[in-house]
Amino acid sequence: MQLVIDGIPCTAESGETILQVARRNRIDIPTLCHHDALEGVGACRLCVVAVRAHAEAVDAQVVASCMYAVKDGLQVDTATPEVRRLRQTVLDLLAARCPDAPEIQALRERMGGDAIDYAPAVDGSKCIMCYRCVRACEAIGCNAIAAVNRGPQKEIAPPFFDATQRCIGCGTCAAICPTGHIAVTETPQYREIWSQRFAMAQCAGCGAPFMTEATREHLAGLGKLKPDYFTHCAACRQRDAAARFVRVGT
Amino acid sequence: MPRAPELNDIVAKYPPGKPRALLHLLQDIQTAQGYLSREAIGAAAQHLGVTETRAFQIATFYKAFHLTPRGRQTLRICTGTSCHIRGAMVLADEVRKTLGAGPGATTADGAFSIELVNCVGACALAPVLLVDGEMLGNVHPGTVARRLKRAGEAP
Amino acid sequence: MKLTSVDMLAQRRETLVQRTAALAREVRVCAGTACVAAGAGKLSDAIQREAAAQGLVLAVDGDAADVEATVRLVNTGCQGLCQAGPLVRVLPQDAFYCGVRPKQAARLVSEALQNNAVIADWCAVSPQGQRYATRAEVPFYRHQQPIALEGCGAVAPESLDDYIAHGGFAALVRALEMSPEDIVQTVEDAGLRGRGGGGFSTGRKWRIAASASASERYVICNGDEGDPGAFMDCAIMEGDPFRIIEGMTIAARAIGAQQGFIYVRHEYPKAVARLDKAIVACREAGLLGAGILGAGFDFDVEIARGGGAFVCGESTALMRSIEGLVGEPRANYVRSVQEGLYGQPTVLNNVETFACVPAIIARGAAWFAATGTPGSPGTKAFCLVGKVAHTGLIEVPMGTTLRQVIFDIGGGVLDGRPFKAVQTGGPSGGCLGEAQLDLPVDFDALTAAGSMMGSGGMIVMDDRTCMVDVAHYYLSFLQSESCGRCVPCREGVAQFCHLLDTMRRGTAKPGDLDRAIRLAQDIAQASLCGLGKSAPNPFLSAVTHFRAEFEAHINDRTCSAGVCRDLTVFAIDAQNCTGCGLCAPACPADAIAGAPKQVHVIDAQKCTGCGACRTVCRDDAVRALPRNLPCN
Repeated sequence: MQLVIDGIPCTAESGETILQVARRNRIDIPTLCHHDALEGVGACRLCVVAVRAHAEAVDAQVVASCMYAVKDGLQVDTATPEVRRLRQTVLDLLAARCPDAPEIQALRERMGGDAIDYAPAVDGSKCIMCYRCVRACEAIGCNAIAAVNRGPQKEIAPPFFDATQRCIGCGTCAAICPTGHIAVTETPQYREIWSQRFAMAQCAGCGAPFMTEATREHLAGLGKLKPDYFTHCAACRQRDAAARFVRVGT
Repeated sequence: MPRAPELNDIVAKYPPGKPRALLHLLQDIQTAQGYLSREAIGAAAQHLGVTETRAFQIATFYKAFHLTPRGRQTLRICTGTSCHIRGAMVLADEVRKTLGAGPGATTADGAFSIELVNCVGACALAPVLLVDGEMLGNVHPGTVARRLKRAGEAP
Repeated sequence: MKLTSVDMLAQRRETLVQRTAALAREVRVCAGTACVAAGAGKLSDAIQREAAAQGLVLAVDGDAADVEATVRLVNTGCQGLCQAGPLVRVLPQDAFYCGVRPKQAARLVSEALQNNAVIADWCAVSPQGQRYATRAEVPFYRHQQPIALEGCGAVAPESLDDYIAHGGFAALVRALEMSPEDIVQTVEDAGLRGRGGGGFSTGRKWRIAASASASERYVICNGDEGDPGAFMDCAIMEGDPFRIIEGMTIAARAIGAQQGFIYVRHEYPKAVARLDKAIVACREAGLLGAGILGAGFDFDVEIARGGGAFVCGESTALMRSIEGLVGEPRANYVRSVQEGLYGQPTVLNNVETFACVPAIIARGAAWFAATGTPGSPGTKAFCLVGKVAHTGLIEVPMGTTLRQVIFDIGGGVLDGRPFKAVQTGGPSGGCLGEAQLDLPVDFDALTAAGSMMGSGGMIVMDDRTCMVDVAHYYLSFLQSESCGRCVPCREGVAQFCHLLDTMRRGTAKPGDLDRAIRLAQDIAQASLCGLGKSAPNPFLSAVTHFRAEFEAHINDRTCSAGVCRDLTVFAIDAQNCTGCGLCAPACPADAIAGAPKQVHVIDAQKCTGCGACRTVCRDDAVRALPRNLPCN
């Protein structure tokens, strides 16, 4: 199907979101909660755009581009004054909630609009409730964390705010967090995350700690990866692979 | 542990592996035990085949649930619109002064747990207090202490 | 007894009607929430004791089995005039008594139940001293027209027999004779619009669900009446549960659903119990389950109890909650009527909507559409509460003006104070002022004025209600009820509360009103679900109609209503004070001094501005004054 984004005609498949089509056509739409590997949630509302049903339509509707499935003939504007203002408000609100998150402050400066300083949260964390960590943990199959409580008190936590057997200490949540909210302590012997300590497995090749024992068990249980994935770190696996190529080539 | 068999009895009333029943089961447990213990949430989750993570999420999302033990009586202050414009928040302050514990807290002697609740549907009697389900209507701040004393004549 | 055919139902009704006709009188004691709180249960017991003592055989509630009985006692659902309970209505005289005490039971039995006398000195009195011999004359009831509330306050809520005797399930019988398409067409022709708030065409909704291709379809009744200040649905669920089941069954027949759910707030335990009993009774009678009335049509209903989350009134959140998940709205742009519960086509209507359906099917689309306005046919139930003389549950034809509702039915503002505003639509609606009083109750008219119909809360406010405080009240309600999923609602509403709170406390800065308005518009545009989008309405409508009051809070730091405690001190007007002594004990701060029969004085230093003295004063002697905060 055909649609127009910021005056640029774009081709799209049914079921695609506006964001997908825009990015493919190198049209920039800022996002926070979106991640290509995860299902959309439409939580941050930074990616809002204005849409009209067809070129002659006057009434525009503001939608989240990460969730809105494209329709034939759709007219999308990604940077109307209204859209820009809404994004600004979203960032202003997040900046007040997370005064210590430099990523938010940077994005806010980049917007360059009339920023409003809202009352900063006294106990503000860096968490912007994007749910990336929760969705990633779900995708991995662990479901160790979730958004608990509701409204402004909502926070990401393991059940009972306590150690849980569901967590394997893989660290994906921390790696995918856009603001560095999730604290991780790494030592050669253990990794500490969500107030829980996980023993590290050492690489059979170089001896470096490369994943937690619990992660290794979890991944092995899936039975989808080659055995060397659980014994060797990524660098050693690459080196071994390179060595094999060399042998094949000579 | 006198409570343990009771928990099992409640849980056993639901068919295992039916995640949809989670909200109901948690409500039944809370009705019987007054709150949701960690043990209870775990048992409900296991029985219905949902993760503890989700059960805890549900238990913290819905206001109906309490995760800490309750006082012997529950004092609910209705904060519906009608009660609000007829002075519910003044009542709440007065309750705090009278009992020494405000909304969300339990008195030191464990007699009362105090809650602000959404409209209880008795708008005509606003402002309304509920002591363990007994409704006290048209409560004025000056009479809170007397009304509570009368309603709380429990042991 | 299982009713395996339409004929069996008809026979059953015939038997019941004959038995009822044999009774000389019927006394209806209101067992609604407010009346029970006022002692209706004790009254009902006392009447039964007295009847026994006086040798009068009573049939109680649906129990018409006692053929000796000459009088029936029905403990009904809400009869409406909640503030004057316990209410008693005696038929066939149609006598109506307010505030009846248990000790009056003896006289009630001997005079009104043993024979046809009307106890004149108990009847309601008009301000002019006129006595109303019958209920129909009482102004509170005279202007009403019940459709959804027809059975509420009339039938015995726990008796299937009584519902059948009152014509119950006759509409279902008609629906079984009609084709599903005819049912949908009838509801559409009637012009029934969803009574839960938005006012979407019910018939159209059913049509979309019926035409979506799917193996399963669901019918959901939304009984999650979260709107603070509204209890219509509660009253129907408690007072006439079979009507809801009948309405849902007709919907199921129309769209081809086999399973229905009634989602009820956990704050309504009695409604849950009543519906539970009603469902069991219907299953036993063959009115739910496999092969309803032997017609080869299967439908069953299950109750889903809510967990105390306003957001679950939002359709997608409600469906998630039924699925056992956290009640967060779904962020997709697909309509839940096509992909609803478990991804299947789902018709979701609220209690009042389903309660209108049997009447429409039984009496026809034209009959329903003859009432109300062209755009909003039929009637609407409201909870008329707040600072109004007669509070209670009412149902009026659409098109009735707000003035008629508040002044003719409600008897005007409480204690004769000046009218200031009326709030409709709950946390998604808005406040309307004096200038809007002649607006008709109509979906489109209220929306155009910046409020909305909503589920039916109607809160009257007098000059002692502060609009800044009311806006703050709604926004803090929404803050604590926000699911927290999207930024504009979670963070924006919280900031909004903060802004309004600074206005209440006299710490707001010039320009804050404009900031609040911009934030309101942004929340309305950018939020994920309907609740977030409508969250700023209570504020925006209040600013539209009462802007000066907001400005006074910010610029002059005064609250003319005397509600915002940080801005107010109270003083006693020596001219009016009679020294009655009511105010001093009411003061929680011990700030009032005065000897009996002497003018009392409030110590402004001690006064916390709570207004308790003003509430209890009967002589209009307490004045709210600005606290005169030092300038910033």
